[in-house]
Amino acid sequence: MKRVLLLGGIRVIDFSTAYAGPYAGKLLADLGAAVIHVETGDRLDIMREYPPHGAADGPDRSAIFASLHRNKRGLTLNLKTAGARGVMERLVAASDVLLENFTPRVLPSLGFPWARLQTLNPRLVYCAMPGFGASGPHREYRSYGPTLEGQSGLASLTGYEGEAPLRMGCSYPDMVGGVTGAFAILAALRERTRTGRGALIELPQQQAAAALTGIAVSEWSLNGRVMGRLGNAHPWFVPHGIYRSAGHDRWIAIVVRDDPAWAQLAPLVGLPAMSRAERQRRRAEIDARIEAWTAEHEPEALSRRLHGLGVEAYPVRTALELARDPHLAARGFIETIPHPTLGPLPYAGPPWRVTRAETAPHTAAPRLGEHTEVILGELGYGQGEMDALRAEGALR
Amino acid sequence: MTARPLQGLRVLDLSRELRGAYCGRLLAEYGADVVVVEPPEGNPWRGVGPFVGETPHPEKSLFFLHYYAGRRSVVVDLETPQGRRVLDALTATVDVLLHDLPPGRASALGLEPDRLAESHPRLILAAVTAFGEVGPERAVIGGDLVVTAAGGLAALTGDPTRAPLRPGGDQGEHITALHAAVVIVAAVLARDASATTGVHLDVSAQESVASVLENAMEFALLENRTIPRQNGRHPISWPGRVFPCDGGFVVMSCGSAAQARACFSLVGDAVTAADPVLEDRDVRRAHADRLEARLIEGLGRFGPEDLFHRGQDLGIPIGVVHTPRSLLDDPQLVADRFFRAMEHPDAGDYTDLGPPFRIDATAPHLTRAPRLGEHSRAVLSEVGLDADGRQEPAGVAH
Repeated sequence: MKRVLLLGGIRVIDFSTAYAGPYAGKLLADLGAAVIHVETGDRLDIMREYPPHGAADGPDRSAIFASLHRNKRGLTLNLKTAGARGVMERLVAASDVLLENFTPRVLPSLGFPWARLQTLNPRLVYCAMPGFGASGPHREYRSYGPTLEGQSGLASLTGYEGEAPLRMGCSYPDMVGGVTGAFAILAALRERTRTGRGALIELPQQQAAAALTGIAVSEWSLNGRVMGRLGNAHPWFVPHGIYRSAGHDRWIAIVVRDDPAWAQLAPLVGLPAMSRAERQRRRAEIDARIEAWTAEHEPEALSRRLHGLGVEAYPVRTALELARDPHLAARGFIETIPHPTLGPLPYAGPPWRVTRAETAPHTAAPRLGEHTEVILGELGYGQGEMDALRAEGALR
Repeated sequence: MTARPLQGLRVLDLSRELRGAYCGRLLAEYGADVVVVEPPEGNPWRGVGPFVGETPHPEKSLFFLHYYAGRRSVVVDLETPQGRRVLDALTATVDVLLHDLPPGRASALGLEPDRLAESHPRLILAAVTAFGEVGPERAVIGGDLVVTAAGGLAALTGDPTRAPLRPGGDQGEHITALHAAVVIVAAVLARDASATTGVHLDVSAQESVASVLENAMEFALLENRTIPRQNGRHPISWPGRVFPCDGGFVVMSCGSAAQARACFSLVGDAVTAADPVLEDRDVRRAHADRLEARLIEGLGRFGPEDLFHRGQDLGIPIGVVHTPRSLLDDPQLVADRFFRAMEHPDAGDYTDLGPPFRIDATAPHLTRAPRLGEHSRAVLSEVGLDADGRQEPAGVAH
């Protein structure tokens, strides 16, 4: 899938770091926005060091950085200098969106509180994605994906039945913050087409993650029950599980949502017709019977057989299986594009196909400071001025 | 004043899965007019428990109340030709048609992209399906468990010696809904900017899940390997997991030696804090079992809130593991007035989750979930269909 240009002409300053903010910028860049990632070589973005590494050394070795920042251009600025702040002013004036994920004191301390940003560009959409909020008691606390998983209530819902909460296998709140940020920015841009004015988006990542706890809070509020960990079970659907299959570490997910699906599955596992209420009562027995059966079969064939019967099922896929998956390949989900230091690099995503839209080839993530001079030129800086900025240390 | 950036956007919602449902909630939350089309017996989630109280009731499903908030409800029997004509009339008046039906089911209802593009050139057709609309697995159906298994997230979560785990709370569906909302609003902006045609969006839940595996796909693609399940430990940072403490749990995610040392200072264990094995990340990880046993011993003497505040003061990335109950008392969420009060004529008053973001310091307003067919009359009359019971075409009920 080529890069679709739904957001052609939208200019974004991605002044974000680590994962959450960059993921928002990545989605906008994948959709055709002109995104400039502003960073500093004085203190490298931690994702530039994050594994996996496709080269031995240097700031351009990380494949995950390459993925988060593809289709963006890169500019290095040391905003502690007056010259760099001048560059930022011109950039803000020339952009539609400013995105950052620092604690709320950082932008004001660099001379860019919201009031000033608005003066520089009344049409600017400014998306602030702090961990906890612009005000409130935890605003200066540090947060990472895993700590927000706890702080949002998500972690308390994940784990084996009756056991302790368990961290998910990825730093989920990071990606949640990113995709929510992209949605927020686009919504605010749409409002701008009506009002002509920019907007301030406050997106505390704790709240973006807490918004995904589903019915757990209403279950407490309405029924006084604290939802805990259910393993792979569901509060209503039975069976609903991941069962061991034939082969090493092979598993299959099987779900029955209604009586007709149970009528198909039951004889295969040697059980009779049962009402939902009865299935709910006999859940442990049903799970054991299903697993005794699935353990004899390899998950692909079993899954296809169950699909033929109208039963929801799928093999548990590892990332490696996905990287080689014929279905995803047919959809163009995995795509290889050249990278200046990592060579031809395969990428996953984005998770959509868009028909009847203009497209363009993807471009690689910027090497550290790769587009600094080009972007300064676009902002009207002459060579002499650039040399002066460099001498001042503004472009590090 | 409320934030309504999507005001004026009209969305027809044919969802039957939580991925479509949550996408519709998000669009409605931020001001879109979202109409859910329900069959005469109601959307399937009306029949899914838990319910308010013990007795199943179509207006008291917690899933329906949460995921279908913000909508208007119109009942149309799409199994009849007359109902499909009504669907066509409704489609003509909206900006976005959102559905999550597998391809065969969608075309049986007349939702073929080419036909819709011809008859409604400005329409944005968003199909948010389990495996997407093209590719060999396109007809495979599935809800959250299937897509978290198929998208690689379950294989990363849990104990390597036991079954892979589905993260709690339908996250595969949520993350798909969020990605769908992004590309839908992008398509709206593109259409309005160009004054040309709408587009057809094929959003895959499997791919949405596979897009949020942090760096697991990159390990697979670059190094041909899968990160094994870590039983809740972070694969790189240490300590990076949930720990029990007195009366609850905390979670830590430490990247540096200084942070690792501070974790032991936090619990008053000066001896381990000075242990040289903490200096190097790989060495720390190699001694994880012994070190975590020490840490758990210390943490057991303190409560989660105490550890959270003192830990943050020491520079430790630490969080409380909130239960749904303690989340309501989180001082930051309370200060930000995150939660919202909902009123429902059948379900009663309750507290629901708040919005993920605010615009210009204002929170969006979200109306309660509709009763079955509550807005049939109003919605149908808006599209010029006779809303009078006597003269209404067959196939329409309210």
